[in-house]
Amino acid sequence: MIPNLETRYLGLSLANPLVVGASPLTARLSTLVLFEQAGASAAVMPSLFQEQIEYEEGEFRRARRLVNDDAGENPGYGLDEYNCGPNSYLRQLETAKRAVSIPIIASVNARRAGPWTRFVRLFEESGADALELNIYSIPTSPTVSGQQVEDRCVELVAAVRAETRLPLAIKLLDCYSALPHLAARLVQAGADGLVLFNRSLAPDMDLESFELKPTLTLGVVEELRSRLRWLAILRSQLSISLAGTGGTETTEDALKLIVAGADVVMLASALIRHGPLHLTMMLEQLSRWLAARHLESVCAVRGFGGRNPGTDAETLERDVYLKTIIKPTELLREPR
Amino acid sequence: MTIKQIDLSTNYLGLRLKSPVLVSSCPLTSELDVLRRIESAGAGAAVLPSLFEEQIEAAAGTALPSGVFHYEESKEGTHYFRELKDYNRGPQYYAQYLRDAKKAVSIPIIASLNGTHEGAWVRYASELQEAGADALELNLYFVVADPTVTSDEVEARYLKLVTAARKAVSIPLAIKVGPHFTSFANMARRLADAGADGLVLFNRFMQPDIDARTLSVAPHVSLSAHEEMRLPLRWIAILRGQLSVSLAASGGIHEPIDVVKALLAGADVAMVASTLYRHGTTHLTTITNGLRHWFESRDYDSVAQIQGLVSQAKCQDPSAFERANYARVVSTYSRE
Repeated sequence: MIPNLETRYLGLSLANPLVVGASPLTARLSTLVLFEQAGASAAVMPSLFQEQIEYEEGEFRRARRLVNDDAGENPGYGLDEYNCGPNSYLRQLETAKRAVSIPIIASVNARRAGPWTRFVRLFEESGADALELNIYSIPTSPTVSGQQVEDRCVELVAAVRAETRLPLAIKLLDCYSALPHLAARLVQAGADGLVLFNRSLAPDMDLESFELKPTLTLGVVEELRSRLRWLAILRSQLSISLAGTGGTETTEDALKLIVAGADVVMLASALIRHGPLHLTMMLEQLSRWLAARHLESVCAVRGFGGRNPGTDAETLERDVYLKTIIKPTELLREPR
Repeated sequence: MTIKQIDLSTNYLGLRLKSPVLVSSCPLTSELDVLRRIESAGAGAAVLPSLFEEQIEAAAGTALPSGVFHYEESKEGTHYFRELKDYNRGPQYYAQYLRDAKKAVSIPIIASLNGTHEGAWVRYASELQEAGADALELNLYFVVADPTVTSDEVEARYLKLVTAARKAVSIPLAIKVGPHFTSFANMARRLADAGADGLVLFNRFMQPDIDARTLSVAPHVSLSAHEEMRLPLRWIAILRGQLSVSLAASGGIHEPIDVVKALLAGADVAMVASTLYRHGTTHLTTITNGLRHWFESRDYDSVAQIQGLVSQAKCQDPSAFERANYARVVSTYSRE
């Protein structure tokens, strides 16, 4: 028996749950073809930044006056060369659509609604199968409340929703005071799916120059657990699509995300480290794992690790936390 | 070669400490013998392991929020509950241990409470004060899964606990929280306004794993990863110019250079635990010596000289902490 790996994500029928996430990997056509051959069921293009669109439209100055929650902005962020700007992005999208037959999900990284959102209709015209809206904002003003920040997120989703009929996934950071409440609001505003989570890239410090240096660290396995928790909680509450991403290195990691409730698993760091064959290997292992347990399809395990309906999730979380704290006194012994 | 006197002393929660390196709340500090060793290895202070709300409420015989001990019913749960009751010797001995600790060492001893609801445990805080705690660290941990609960309500619950603890004790009060607030800068200010003398950034959430064999939720303990430090580093750098309360960096601090970075960002102290589990308590001596060496080689005389030099308020490029950093990282990485 060959298990059925088919899955649905944002209304799209995918051959399996392994998707190449937004990353430099999906920027190059040649790489994209390799990943399709390796078995990836869809690909998310690297993000176009809101600022790139605003810059192009000559609205940057105005936007800067209107938006002052991220102080000290630097026009363009040196993004002029990244993704070659909005128009090249659309051309790249069109070329990608011609080169591969797997669904291509366009991605836009934004923080606030604004005139720039008009641009998103062009993704649809260029053939994107869906749109991922990556909300990335680090509010640093002590006078802006969490509620205000969340209202802005909802506004942003509604504004993007109003511009396109494409299936819309919202990629979030793991930094909200009440994620289930916000998630429900985002769905109401028109989100068809959530991608949990984007990685917050905090800067490191250079001790020679006393400057902050932007440094990218690839995902680490430790990140996986917050994804597991929130996928399991949200799966029991929402009927939308859920994608798990961040800290997924092995087939077991991917399985855990699916068991927690993910429809798809987005891979980036692991594929940057190990290349396309890693994805092929994961698919084989996924099939074997299901077959060994006489499971007919990947859907059979989805959400299996969700909440016991009889238990309120907060209590369960707290119990697991206490167990974790108490048990390790055995594990955590000072080395001799 | 003349040995220069380096003043490593720092002020934390109004306490004068001889070193900015503290041992954070962990099972290590539950042994008098270890406390003596870390004192002679140069620790500035020690935080005792947390006493849990559940332990105190159980000992006090007070009614618990329904379901808090639902594991008690199961066979496994009975075992777990007994373990919890005895963890840290239970509430009746915690105060006694604190007294013994105060006699055994001369460094400040910070007691720690971990809870989620108001109740008897808040009153217990005053017993810890009477037992001689130099300060109290309140570790607030709960996961709100209810989609009808707003971020305002979640945040209000945190603030209520801080207010209650503030009323209960007159000793300095530090609040240890996780980073998951929608507007962290706003929340930090409100925690300070509610009576916190210091903030410990961040607690580690001990998130559950999923056991891929049984497809069930499994408690999981892991030592901190070095990358974790970026998050406290970012927020301390942002908050230093906004708040006058003490700031402690916690999580991912393993080497002398990490302590330096924390101080440069604006921390008053840096807390270690995982690294002592990996390398033994003698590693504390290595950290302290390394710290001195760094000061000597850079010709600095005191902790005060370098504190906050790379905080957002003093930084030439404040946007480096915010969205701009993300855009820079992503675009730089893509070009490489």
